[in-house]
Amino acid sequence: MDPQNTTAIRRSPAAWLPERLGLKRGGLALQIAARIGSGLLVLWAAVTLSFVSLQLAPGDIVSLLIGEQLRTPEVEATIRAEWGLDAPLPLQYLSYLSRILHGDFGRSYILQTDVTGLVLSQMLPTLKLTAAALVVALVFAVASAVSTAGRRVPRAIAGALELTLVSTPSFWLGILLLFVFSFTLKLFPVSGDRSFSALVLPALALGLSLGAVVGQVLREGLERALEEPFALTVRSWGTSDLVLRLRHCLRHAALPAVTLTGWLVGNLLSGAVITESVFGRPGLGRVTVEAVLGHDLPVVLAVAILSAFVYVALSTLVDVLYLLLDPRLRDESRETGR
Amino acid sequence: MSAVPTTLARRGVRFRRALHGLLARPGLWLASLFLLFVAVATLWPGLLSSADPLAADPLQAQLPPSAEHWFGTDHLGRDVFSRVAHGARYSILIGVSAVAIGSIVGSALGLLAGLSRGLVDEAISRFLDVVSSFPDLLLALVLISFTGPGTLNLIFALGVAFVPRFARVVRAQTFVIARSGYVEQARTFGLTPTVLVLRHILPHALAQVPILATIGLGSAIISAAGLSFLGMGPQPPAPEWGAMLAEARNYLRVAWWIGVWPGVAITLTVISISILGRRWQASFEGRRAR
Amino acid sequence: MVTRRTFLGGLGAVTLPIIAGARPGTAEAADAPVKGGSLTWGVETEPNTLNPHLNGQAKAKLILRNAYESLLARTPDGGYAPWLAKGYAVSEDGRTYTFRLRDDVTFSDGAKLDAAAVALNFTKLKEPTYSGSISAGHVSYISEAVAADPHTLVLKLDRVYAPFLDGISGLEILSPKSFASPQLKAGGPELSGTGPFILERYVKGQEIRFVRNPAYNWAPANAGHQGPAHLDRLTYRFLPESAVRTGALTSGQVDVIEGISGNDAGLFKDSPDFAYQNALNTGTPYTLYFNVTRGPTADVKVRKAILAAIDVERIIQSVYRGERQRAWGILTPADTDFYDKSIERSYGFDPKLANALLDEAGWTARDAGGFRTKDGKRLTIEVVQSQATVRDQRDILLQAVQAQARQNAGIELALQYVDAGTYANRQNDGQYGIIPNSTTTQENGLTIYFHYLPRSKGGSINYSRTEAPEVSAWLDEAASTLDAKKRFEIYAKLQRFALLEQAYGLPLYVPDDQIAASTRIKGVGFRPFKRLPESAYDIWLKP
Repeated sequence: MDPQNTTAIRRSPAAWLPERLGLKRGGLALQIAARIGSGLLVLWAAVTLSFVSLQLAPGDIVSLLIGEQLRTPEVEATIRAEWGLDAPLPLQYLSYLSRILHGDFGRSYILQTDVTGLVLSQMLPTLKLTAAALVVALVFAVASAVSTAGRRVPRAIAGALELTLVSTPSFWLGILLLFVFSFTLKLFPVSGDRSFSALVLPALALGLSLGAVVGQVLREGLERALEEPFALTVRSWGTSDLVLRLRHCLRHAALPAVTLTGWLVGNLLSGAVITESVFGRPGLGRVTVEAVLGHDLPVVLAVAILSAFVYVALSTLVDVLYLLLDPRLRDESRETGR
Repeated sequence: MSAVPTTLARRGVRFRRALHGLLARPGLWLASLFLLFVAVATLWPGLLSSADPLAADPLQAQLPPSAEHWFGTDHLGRDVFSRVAHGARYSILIGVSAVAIGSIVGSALGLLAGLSRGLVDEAISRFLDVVSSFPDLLLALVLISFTGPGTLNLIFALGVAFVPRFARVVRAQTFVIARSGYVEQARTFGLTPTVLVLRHILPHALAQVPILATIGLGSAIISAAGLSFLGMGPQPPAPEWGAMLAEARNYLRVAWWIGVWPGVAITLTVISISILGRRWQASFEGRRAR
Repeated sequence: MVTRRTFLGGLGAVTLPIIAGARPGTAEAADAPVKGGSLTWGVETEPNTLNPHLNGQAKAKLILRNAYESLLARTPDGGYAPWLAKGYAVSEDGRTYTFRLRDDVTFSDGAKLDAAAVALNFTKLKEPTYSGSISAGHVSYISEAVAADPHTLVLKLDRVYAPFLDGISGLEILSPKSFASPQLKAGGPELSGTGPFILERYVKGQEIRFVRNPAYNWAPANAGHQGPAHLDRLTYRFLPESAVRTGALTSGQVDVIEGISGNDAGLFKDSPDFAYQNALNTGTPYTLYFNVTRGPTADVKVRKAILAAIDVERIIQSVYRGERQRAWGILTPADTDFYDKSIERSYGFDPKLANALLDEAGWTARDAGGFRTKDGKRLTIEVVQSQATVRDQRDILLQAVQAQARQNAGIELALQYVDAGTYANRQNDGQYGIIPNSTTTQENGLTIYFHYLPRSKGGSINYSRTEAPEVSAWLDEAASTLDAKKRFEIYAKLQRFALLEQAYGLPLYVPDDQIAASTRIKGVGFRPFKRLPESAYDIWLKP
């Protein structure tokens, strides 16, 4: 949750292939292609890792599937055949790969249902939650940074508030919000994803601590920008302080915050897992927790691969955007920066 | 991405400025004092509370805070203050162990990658890419889905999730130092590779690790509490803070005190650790920037 | 009216007369029911599958019963009432069961209910890859399921099996097309039944929605009314936290909730805006079963010591705030046929006895944690609880038991909440010290067989793993007699042996269902015999 740790995460997994290929100065198209290629390779490795871990997982899949049913060799054999567990490993691996390429993540051990369908059906509530939390985070960050940057007392107060928010576990914040605003004041629904109002408390619980982190980074950037010569120039035009901050400085301050994207996405997804459980919202997070507790590996791995995909796709996108937007990067030697 | 030392230097300046108001002395003192309490609770919880954190008394259930029970009693009649005090041990030990695993394994991988270059570096870096393409908590969840819940499994899962961030930083540092003129110079003096690595590269490459670890400890404690809240950490009746909150959820209406104190404990601990960690980082970077 | 005794007598063809009777919850009958409206019901447990054949969760039944129905309904005294079958007959030798089906029933997918469709259900249930544990139960006795004519179903058994009708009459009947669905095992809207409501949509993690089946006109003879259901729409929302359910009801977000914690019961009991009702379940109490084949619990003295070390009454009072009842026997008091009351208070809390027994058993030393040890080994017993069946604050209850075992006798109970696969494995291999469990789904003494026969002879949930020859002999004797009084005596003997002599288990509390509803909701109640919450068929909204 600390902005300080984001350096370690900022580096995109899509950056290595261009380096290996010596594409420091290659054509733009080639560089972009290489980046997408390396993103794909990382994904392939993630899928392979999933398959390997499925094979190494302790506990026998067959016994999970049999449950309390009477165990006979005949029943075991039928189940092995039904789930394709009787094929040789390399064949299982190939069919696993090809199924995932076709968007088929297999069948849940516990729910006996199609994992892809399950994950897709749970995606929308999670997307809603993460999007709403992102809005909360950004609004909080911008408001807090713009209104307090460079002002001694307000920034100390905002800093203390942000420190508290960053240090408060989102599930506890969620429980408190639920207790106060839902049980006691009855302003918001207690649970579920049936209306917009049901989104408010979970989005706050998830978004505030992330907003606090972004706010800190944004404020530092804003303060630096306010000291730049152009700020003085703009001020000399008689522009009001707020307009200066919002229209001129925020843009400069936003750049370092953009590098937080990967970190933010990761934390939104991680946070959704817990937030959904606290608020009894449907969604990927809750499905994941149930699958983890139920040892339902196909579901766990599908969610993991999906989130890896989202992460790699987003950071590759950010990388490519950077390449397109900032020509200097194309020439810069990245060797030492890794 | 620019070279790490420059980033750090810039951030050092930024931080000294940023933290000036916030981390003025009183905050630092309060944070140190609170962490002292937490340390005592971790090592000798009996000094803070004589009550048995596991002793249930059905006749004393759900009593509000009083002189006898400072934080009240929970749904089984256990003393909440004693449970919170004894719970420090779980949260701190899980956090510290996870960060220790992450930093030791991460540093080793980072050093190895930074020193060896070529195929080994490539393999390690790609491995880290894959691992860090899963968000921290989700990676820990995936690991727990294989190992099952429990204190040790939780430590292991969080530790693994923390490896990449340490490995990245140490690798980059090693890289820079190994190629700096200063090491070249040392080499011309005829130092053996072992001496070179041990005496000249290691100390610099690892200089940042304790600070990263301190700052990471805060997020480790929060993540650990979150996973315990979901039932994946210490099993009952262990008074782990996250697990206590999970149980307290259903009693908020009738006994708010069961679910408030463990949360306060987590928040204050993490705040205190952050204050100290940032202070340390600021002074460290200040030194380096000069 | 046909009683169980007549059935057990196997007296040839008997056609059931229609009975009309008032049912609990419909006592405010002076008001005429109003048609229309929609109802939202907050429930604790989300079904792990919506296929009623495969779902073994007692708490899922109240949801699934809206869409799926069975051959016969039950009366409060355990008798049978016509439902999808108008009547049944049992042959002289007790090996052929003939059901006469109604001829006016259609599945919600449009198919007609006929003998072939019902026969297909039983054939499918016998396939081991389809039906899991049920295939090992009653259905395994069926050698042949045939449609004698379009509305007469004949089930042939390979041997006499007294509790057959109890098991078979309650099995839900699915439409033939359902078995071809790719969603067969997960269940859902693709599986059609004949119920008063049609399953419209399932949103995992949130809710399950039903709409009224307008064609419905085949309610059980003893239902509160006949014809289509009163409600237009029906939604069950999954709210696993009891505090959340309470909050949802008091803030008006749902109309009815089930599963109310002891702390919250008073809130609804004392309020004029809500109606609170509860009913004890039949079946077995929530019991700690001790593994007699492994570890410290293999010693009867240790088992008896645990029985004496736990102050069950006080714990139940404290955890459930007086809203649940302490259990004493191998069956719950709700089982009016076979519950032997004389077991009550024949054993109980006695810490001195507990400690004396443990001393005798050789667990004399104590370690630093205050736990007893023998030969340097701590007296630790693993309690393996399936994650899936934790409900009704049982996790809190187990912690209270754990604390008492430690404080009163120096016994360490290690609580382990495990996933379904691990649970199945450990149960199969006997890798546990204690398994806590309750059953609500079996009646007519059936559950005693499953709990106390050796595992190899069909004791699929014989958690204590006893193979005591006297127990098996008694059970054989009881199965072969048709005299209910004799059976009662045999089960009473078994109960005393199992609890007092051998201490196979420690019954904790009687599982209980609670319903709280806003007072404008009428017709909420419990099933006449199993005492689980009834479907929403009779519910209507007072304007």
